[in-house]
Amino acid sequence: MIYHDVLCPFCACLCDDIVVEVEDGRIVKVDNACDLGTHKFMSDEKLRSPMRRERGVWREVGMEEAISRTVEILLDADRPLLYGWSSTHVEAQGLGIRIAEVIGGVIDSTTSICHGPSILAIQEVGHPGSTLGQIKNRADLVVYWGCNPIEAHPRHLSRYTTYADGFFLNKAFRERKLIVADTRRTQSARIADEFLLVKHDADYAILGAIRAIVRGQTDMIPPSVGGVPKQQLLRVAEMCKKAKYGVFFFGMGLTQTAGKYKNVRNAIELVIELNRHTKFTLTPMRGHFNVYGFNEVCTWMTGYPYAVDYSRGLAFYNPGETTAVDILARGECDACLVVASDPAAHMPKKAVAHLSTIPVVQIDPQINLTSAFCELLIPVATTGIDAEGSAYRMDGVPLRMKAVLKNVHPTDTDVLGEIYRRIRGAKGCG
Amino acid sequence: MRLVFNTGRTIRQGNSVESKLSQEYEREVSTARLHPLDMLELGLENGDRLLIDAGRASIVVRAEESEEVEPGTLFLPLGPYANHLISEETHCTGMPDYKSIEVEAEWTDRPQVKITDLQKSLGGVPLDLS
Repeated sequence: MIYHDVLCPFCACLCDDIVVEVEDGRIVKVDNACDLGTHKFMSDEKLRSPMRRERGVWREVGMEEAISRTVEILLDADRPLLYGWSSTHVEAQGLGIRIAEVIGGVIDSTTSICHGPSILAIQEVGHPGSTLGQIKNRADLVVYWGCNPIEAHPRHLSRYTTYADGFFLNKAFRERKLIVADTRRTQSARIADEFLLVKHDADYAILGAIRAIVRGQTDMIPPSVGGVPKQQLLRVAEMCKKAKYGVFFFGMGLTQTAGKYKNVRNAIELVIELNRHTKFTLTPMRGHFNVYGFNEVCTWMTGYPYAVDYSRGLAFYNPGETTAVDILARGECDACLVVASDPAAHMPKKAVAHLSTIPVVQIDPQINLTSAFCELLIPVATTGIDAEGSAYRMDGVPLRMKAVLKNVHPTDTDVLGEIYRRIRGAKGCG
Repeated sequence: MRLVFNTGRTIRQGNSVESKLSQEYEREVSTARLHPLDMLELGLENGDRLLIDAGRASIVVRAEESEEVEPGTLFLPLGPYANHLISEETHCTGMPDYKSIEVEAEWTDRPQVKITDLQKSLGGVPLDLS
């Protein structure tokens, strides 16, 4: 059986032209996907049954025991943390938020350690965004700042920017100019028309200098800013002003370096300034395939995009206090539900160490580094492979993900729905 | 030698992210990239072990030269080895300083720890179904 136009469940490019061939209940061939997506489709290292750890020994358990123990852990906790959510569908994310509300817990997604600062900046000065379709068909200038799409979003250039055809461009490949800014000479930097080699933690100063030039304050710029010569800054500002339609993509090079959300705010304000001269938009390079979806769902349901604390009985949001790394590092939470993510692979060690002191339940298709810190592992179907559901692309466009295999395990929605039903029952919510 | 430490994604880290208990993942996330001139100054050959000391913590990784990395800097892919050096301080933003911490780096003959040993050192109990 060959499935066409399948969506890839790896990164937030959400490529929707994947061809998947299935034989005897297994994926045997994947076309059009990048290396990252192909590895995910072809991976067969799945967890086969729920596992429970007691007194240091792992044993297989049934789904009933796994779910009832999870409910017990969540009901017993005074300050539970529900973390992850970026590699599952929005229907499951919504159930997570409902559970957090009923038990008075904190719910946060991987957003807080990827583009959380971008959201903080957007809350300050707005988001001059656009869809990737507009960018593909109109943009004649593309900026990648603090990101390396060739390695982290390998088809971004061929589907949406440098190597893509554009409806309003005659010879898109020749017409589109590419600017890359990074602290490393990455593969993406090598194909740029202009590469800005940025000194560590100098992004804010360089963005500020380009803003000043665009505003006509050229004389105040010193000979070099953050390692970038003035002449190059003048060239880059001119390229941006002369573009018919420019787009600014950015990654962790802005959100994880000194200044964090202030770097992103400076980038947004540069884009706003450029809109006095031409059309310019900005899009964060979101990582997990549905990390954006969590921000959408969380905003609909709570009024806030991530890091929501229900301990007061209503939604409270204060990144730095209600974000997962802070709560774990302070040793504050007394239970943790991890869904569709791997905090032990991506958080500082003090935050990870706290997981070993509290009951942790992981709902995930496979074993990962967080599994070693769990009491319970609950296997589920993989969204986009054997579970369908909706997800949001990095530009905020919702798309429906298909299932190409029949699921052996329940979906995230099945498991979380059952947990929610039992918790509501125990709380007398009917 | 004083270096600026940086971490981030690589294609090989991404390819093995679905199988984090594999040797491919462990090798990728424990391989630090340094500029060839810094490798020379540190007396390192490709594959030699490198001790990175961030003050609060230190870790031994594998060194590899790379023209992508600027002199005076070091790049270690996102993963448990990099996390070992990162502080939990988020400056009230929720985001730790993943990308620019100052470290001391030197050649070492100390052994490199495995991911499972790192997990055990933090109180984890690795699950091996193989």
